[in-house]
Amino acid sequence: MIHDGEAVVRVENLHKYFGPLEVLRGIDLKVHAGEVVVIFGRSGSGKSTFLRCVNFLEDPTEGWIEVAGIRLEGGHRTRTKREEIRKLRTHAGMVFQQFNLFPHMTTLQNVMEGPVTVKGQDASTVKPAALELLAKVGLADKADEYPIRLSGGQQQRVAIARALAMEPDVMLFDEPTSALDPELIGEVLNVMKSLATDLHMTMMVVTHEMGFAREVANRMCFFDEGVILEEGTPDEIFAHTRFPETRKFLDAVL
Amino acid sequence: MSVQRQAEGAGTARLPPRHIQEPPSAKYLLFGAWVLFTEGAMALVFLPVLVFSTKANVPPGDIALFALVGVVCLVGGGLVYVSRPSGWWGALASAVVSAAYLLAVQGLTSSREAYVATVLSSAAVVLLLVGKSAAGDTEALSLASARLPFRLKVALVWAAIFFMLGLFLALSDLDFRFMAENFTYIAKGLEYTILLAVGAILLATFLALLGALGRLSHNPVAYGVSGFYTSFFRGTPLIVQLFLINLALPQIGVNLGRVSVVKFLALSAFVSGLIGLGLNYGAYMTEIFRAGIQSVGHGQAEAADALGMTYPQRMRRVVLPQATRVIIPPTGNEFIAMMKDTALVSFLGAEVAHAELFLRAQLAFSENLTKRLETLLMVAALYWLLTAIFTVFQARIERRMAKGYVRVTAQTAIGGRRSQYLPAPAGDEQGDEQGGAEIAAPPGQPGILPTLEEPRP
Repeated sequence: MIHDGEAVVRVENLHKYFGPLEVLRGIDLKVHAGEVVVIFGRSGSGKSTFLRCVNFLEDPTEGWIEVAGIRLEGGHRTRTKREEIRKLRTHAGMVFQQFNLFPHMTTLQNVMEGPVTVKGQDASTVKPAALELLAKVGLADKADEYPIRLSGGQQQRVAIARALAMEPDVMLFDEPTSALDPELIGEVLNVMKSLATDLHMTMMVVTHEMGFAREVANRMCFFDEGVILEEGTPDEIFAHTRFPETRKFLDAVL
Repeated sequence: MSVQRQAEGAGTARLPPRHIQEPPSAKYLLFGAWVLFTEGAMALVFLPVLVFSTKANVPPGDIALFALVGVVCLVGGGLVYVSRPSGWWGALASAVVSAAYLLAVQGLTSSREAYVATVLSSAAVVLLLVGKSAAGDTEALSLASARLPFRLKVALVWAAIFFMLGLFLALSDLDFRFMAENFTYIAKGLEYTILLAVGAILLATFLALLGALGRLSHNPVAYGVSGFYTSFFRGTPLIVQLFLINLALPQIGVNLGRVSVVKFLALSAFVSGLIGLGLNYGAYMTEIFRAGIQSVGHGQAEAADALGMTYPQRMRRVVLPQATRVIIPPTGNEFIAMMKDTALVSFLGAEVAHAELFLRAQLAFSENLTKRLETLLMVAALYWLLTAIFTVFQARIERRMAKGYVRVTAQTAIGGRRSQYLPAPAGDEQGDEQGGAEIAAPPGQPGILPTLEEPRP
């Protein structure tokens, strides 16, 4: 694939400990503009922790992370670093496994929350854009509903719109379809696919949906015991698997 | 009947055909029984008054007869429920007998209770006559009973209790004129009672918010200070705290300063009451607020963080609005408790100008020591009224805060069910290779799957 864009996300020598347990053992990864990177691997392989480190929901113990030109080192948070982290997060939209929509706000208010509260934009100017985003994820008619009245798939699509509203440089998806009923997975994956094809959004996706990966991903990273064991295009991963661990995992999920 | 019409209106054609066609008069029969029960209960409640009253000096034979009338009324009420028509005649007889007896003796202590009982007995007679066509039809009675809303029945019980209480108080020679004359004087205390309670709850809410954030903080100073605060104010009696603030603080002023600054830290009863109540309730509410904030899922904080919110933004926009829902009901309870605890402030000295309810009551009966019952009843009723009004208010707030947490609203409960369970139509990106989504149909057209509703003719 062609990715002539510069690196939006740059991770260097990332280590993460939970107490004495080393969950991430030196990760290096560059994600270029417009690239879709699928991260997969067994449960406990560190893939979710890695994604959460990228926007500092988890503090890396050691190593460097750069998102949209904001470069930060792991370790303890200082006052200035905290502010830098906050800035970094406005460039990285996050979509959670459990959606985490704000239940006391309507769908539209959820989408407008980021630009209005964090960026300080005027609600009246944000509203048309937010409605447009809701239309993009197919929920224009649900603008005034509260999240509890929506299905899981609809909630996740709102969550995607909420993250997009911040106009992020990269979207992080943390198992976005794992909490969904099987028949609702498709609608969420379709929205994600359109982000990649229509908006050329840079995306890092932790998922078990290998069909999606094969179709949309530019690159796939297989996580195993805290390292990226194997990395390559979907074709390389699926057709020319190099490591038996990867093969074993693929056989299990396919 | 109206009930039947409602059932048809809801489109429920599946109700079994009704075999029982109860006579509409059944409910009057039911009311007749209840009136008799009330009258019987009343008679037995007044029995001790007759026995112990030295003023009235009623002969034991009359007391026994009176008790018998009470029992007759209770039995008569029960006879209405008997499945033979003869039961109805028994009930009618008991109502007639009791009315006749009470009219004949003109009451035992005064004629007042006799008149009341006569009115009740006569009402029972009338109701029994109106309801005669349902006599002995127990099915009709239980149906009629089931048709009456539970709340209405409870209201009737309350009414009966108030009725008896009122009568009891009237019999014990309550001085209604004194009450009427002093009511406005005492009720004026409501102003400062409400001011105290509202002021103190505002202070307490502010302190509780700070305290809760402190208890959840990783900052040792914030954690330690809030820990000390809740420990001390929850660990000592409220009245001691009030006395400390009102009586002990001025001594610090005296000890610290020269004669010219004796006024230092000397607070008025109202101000020290407000501060004391606020501090004390703030300490209790700290725990409520802490629990409320912790009840908001961790994912919410993460979602706020991921958007790039600062800590204050996260609290103000995401966590606190959701915590409020959990916090409001127990805080309402605290407020109700505080309204009543404002009475303690009356012990901080008699500043008549700023006297709240209870101080005014104490002043009123101190001038007229034989009127304590009247005064204290009035003041109790006023506190009760105050808390009752607030309880209604609180229930409304809670209902309002429930939006966003209830799936089906009243409006959609009947018609909007389908849209909730089937994939959303219109504008959705469906029909992908994952399958499953083909279930969705354009709005207005039938879906491929059978819908949950039956087709309407």
